[in-house]
Amino acid sequence: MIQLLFILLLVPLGAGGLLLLFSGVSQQRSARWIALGGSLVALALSLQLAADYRALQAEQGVSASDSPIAPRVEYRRTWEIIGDTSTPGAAADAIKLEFHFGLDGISVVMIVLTALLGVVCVLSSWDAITERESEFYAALLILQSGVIGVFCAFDAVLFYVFFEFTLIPLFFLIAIWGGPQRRYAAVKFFLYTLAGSLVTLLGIITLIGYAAKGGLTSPCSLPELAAWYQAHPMDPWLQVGVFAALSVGFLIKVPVFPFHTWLPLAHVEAPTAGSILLAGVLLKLGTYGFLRFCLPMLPDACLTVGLPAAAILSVIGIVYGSLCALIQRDVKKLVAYSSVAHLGFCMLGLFALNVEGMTGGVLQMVNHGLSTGALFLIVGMFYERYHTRMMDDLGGLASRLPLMAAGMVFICMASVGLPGLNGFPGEMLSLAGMFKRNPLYAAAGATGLVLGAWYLLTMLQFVFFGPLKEPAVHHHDHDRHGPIRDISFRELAALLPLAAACLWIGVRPQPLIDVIRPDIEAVAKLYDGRPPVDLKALAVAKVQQRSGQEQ
Amino acid sequence: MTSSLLANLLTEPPGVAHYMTVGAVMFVCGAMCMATKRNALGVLMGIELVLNGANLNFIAFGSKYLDNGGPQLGLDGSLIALFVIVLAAAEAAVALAIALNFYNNHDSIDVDRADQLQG
Amino acid sequence: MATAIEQLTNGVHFLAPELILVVAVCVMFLTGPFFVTEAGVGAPGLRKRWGALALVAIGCAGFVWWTSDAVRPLDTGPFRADALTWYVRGLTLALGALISIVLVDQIDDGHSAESQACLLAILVGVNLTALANDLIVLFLALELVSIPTYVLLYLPRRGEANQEAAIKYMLLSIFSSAIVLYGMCMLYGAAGTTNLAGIAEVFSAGKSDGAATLVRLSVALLIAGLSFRLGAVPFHFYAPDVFQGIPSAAAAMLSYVPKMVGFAALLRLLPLVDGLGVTEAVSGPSAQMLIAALAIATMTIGNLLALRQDNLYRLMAYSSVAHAGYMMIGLVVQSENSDVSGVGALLFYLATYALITIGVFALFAGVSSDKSPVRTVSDLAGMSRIHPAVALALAVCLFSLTGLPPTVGMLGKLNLFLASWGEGTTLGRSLAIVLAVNAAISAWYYLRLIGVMFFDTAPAGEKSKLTLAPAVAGTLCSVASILLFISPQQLWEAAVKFVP
Repeated sequence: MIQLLFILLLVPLGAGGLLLLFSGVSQQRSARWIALGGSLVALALSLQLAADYRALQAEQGVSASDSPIAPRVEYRRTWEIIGDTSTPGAAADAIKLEFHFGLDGISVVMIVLTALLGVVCVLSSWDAITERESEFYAALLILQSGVIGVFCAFDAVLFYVFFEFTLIPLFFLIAIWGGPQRRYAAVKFFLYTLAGSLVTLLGIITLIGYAAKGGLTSPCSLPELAAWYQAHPMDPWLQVGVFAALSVGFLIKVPVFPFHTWLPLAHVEAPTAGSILLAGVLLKLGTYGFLRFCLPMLPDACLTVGLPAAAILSVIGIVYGSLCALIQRDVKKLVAYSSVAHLGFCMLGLFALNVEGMTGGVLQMVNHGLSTGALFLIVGMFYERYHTRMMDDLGGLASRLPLMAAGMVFICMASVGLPGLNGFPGEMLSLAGMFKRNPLYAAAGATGLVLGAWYLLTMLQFVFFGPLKEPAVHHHDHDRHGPIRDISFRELAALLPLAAACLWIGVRPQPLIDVIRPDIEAVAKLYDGRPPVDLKALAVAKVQQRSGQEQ
Repeated sequence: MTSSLLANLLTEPPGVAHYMTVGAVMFVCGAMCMATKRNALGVLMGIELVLNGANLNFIAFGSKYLDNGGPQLGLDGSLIALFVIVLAAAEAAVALAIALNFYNNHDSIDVDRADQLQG
Repeated sequence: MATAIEQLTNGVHFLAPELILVVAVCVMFLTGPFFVTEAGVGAPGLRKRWGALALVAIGCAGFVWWTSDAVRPLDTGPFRADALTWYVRGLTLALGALISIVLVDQIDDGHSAESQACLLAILVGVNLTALANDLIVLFLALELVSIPTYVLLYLPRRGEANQEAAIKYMLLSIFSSAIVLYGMCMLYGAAGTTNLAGIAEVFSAGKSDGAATLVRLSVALLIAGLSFRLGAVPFHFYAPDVFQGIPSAAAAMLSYVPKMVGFAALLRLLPLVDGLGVTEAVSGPSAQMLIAALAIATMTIGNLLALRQDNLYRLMAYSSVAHAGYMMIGLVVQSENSDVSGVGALLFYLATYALITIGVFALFAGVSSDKSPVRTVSDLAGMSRIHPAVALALAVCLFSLTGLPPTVGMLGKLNLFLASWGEGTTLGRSLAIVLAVNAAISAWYYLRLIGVMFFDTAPAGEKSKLTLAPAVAGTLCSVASILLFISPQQLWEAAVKFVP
């Protein structure tokens, strides 16, 4: 099974490398076929992987490991031993980096999502990208590999490596194939996230260094690290410090309210495929980071500081994102702001710190990937037709593009959280979990549901209903593009799987929940009946102790 | 402190401290010379002063005729001085070659004329 | 106790790689003039032959280095071969070969013999610095690097800019050597011997407590003089001017050799006075704080000044200043407090930085030609269309300088982070934070270069032709930086073996 994972990791990378290698010489139009092949193979492999994982899970039952992070499949190989390796005694103190890949329920789900969106991305760029095609698809596939790498890395440094690596292909995707302000958007996105993740690196290094000093022999391995911190918790104040450092990078990536400014810009400027991947999986790297680092290793900090801080910021993000979405005239920007709001729900769920909330949070990660990905896809479709995304230029498209309108309505309903579609279980579980923790935050977050319905329905009304309004400017292009047609077979092939997945999760979320549940329970167990730490009293006691020593 | 040091220097018989003082003065003079002279040859002279200031120290430290109050020193000091003299000659040879070429191009050996590279 | 002559004869087999290079240098200097006309013009293609000869000499030296395991940990003679020597030798020879390849096409046939000979002499000087166990040898080795450097900066192109760069470098370099010499004479005065092992013995026995002021002064002078070699602030100001005026092979050499020499000398000299019972004032805090302050100033100023450069070579000069600052962190970290050795992190970083920066200059040389020289940032415009492979390799190198995966630059920075943050002191942590901030700042100007290559369109006109040898050398560097990222263990073990 681990071989399957490696093949899955290498197929997009290999296809991307191939495209890059022959970028100058190949027939340009053949690039997209190679890319489609690569991403379809990756999707098939990931589905096989998920099936295998289900079988394994059924066979093993409850995981034997008592660590909060317990991958069921693992591969470990020494990468670099940093430290003095001259004597065996000294080598035991050294910090060992490993190629440590693994799979648990959460990573399997995220990997399938990534592979699915990979295919959608290729299909969505089919006609839209006409320039430097092989490089485009190469960047897309390499990005996909990098993201899969993040989800299956179980070594702290390896995680960071993939986390950073994803910046590079996305930077090129935005800066070469993006909109008019692409250079600025790409650089802002890159520097913003890079600066954040450097601070995160300091946090990771503290985690590693503390455990290494404490005698853990392989302090970079996430399962061992989490188990170690369960047995030897850090001083709560130190936990808060490390939590803050780790959070900077993750919060920017998610992005949570005050750190979100790069996102709308990046989305608006990115090509459709870039937006789909960015919203669909790259933003999840932030929440995934919280799930892998903060929640299992720093329980006191998460409970005492993380819970209120994350909840308040998420609530602000939900309301603020929704209000911003409400006033946007650019549909793509509207969807971008809706991302900020939806990820607020996700954070709210994760930081409920109980099984319901965290399950909801992870579901929300998947749901947001599916529905926002589909929204960007449809926005891309009518942008391709009309070369505008402004609500004021468009109206009543339902009469001209009935199939597309139907798709848009369906996806909007999913995004709003209509029962029976995928948004519903995720948001409900998140809010229910948070309600158990603190009803106030949950109630405040719930206003986002109403606002979400408001801005999406307003957008639908403007663009798809009412009297037909099409931009006149582009009629002269029609001899190039042909008359405006409804959804083509290729576009349908991209949209249908997403819609089907939305419906499936909405109707039967249980199989998905079963896959992720054991891993979430292992983390949530840490918070069962854990009292919050009185940080202030602790600090006072420390000061008193110090002055006592001096006397 | 300073005045007593000066008084000691003036009243005591010549020792390492005196040579070090001279060496320091040579070093500073050389450094000033390198910093202020615009003529390449003047700068080269400054270089010689600076190197020989250090040389003087080496020889003074190594001399068995001077009481330095420390351990008995061997020939190391004199040896290093010899090496430095040879090195200074080598350096001067290269420097003069470059200065000559500079003159051929600029019709002057004013180093301030070298001002193309900045920004 | 053996006499000096005996010591020297015993030492000969420790010097075998250097002796091979010196023989090659003599052959080139002596026979070179016979192959050129009186006007100084050589037969076309002559430079390739001299380049091949230099490569053969480096190859022989490398073979001797590889087969020798001559490690005499502590010796009283003038030479001392230990893990540092082994590491520096290997690194210098490998990188020297790369520089030699780049140099081939940057000199005219008439001056090729001398230029290659100077390069080899510089390599010998670097190796001797790491071999030195005596102040005399150390100073001679430093000068063996400096003097051929002046000639090498001067020879390849006799333009005015070239001359000016050579003159500026020469004057400042001589001055810095004089400061080092002055520091050495103080050290000699305090310890009474020029032998490094002897000095260590005297200091650790506490026999020279009376000379605390001398030692303190000498440490300050040595650090000041050697920071010129490192390119550390406030002795960095020559770097941009000099880099701007010289061809890329010389720039590649300048961004590696002086740093290696400076760090090797500091690694030999600082342990003598650091932590040994001279005085509290010198041991520990003061020297450490001085270097820490220099490191912070160096990386911050280097990066900030690099932000607004339009000339590629000036930009790379400031980048090399900034990287010197990163590396100095390794000197500050006290290895006994940290799981990760600071010196090991420094030596690892130095190797990777040198590899990458030589790669960058080699690629510049590869796409540059007399008709369309690549000297400013805008000259790179549209490179991804004209030479996609070179643009990709250059992008890998630049990402590596930024410290992004999957390149070895990321591991270099990670080691420094682990070493400084793991030390656990306020000083170590603040250094790590400054390093993080600087890494983010530096991303801006490296990204800018990548942006120009990939997103700008090339100006109309004649496309530059690829010079194959340097382009291949540079591509090798970028491939090596990815391979080293995947399996860094050998390099790390070699780097960490040396504990001062």
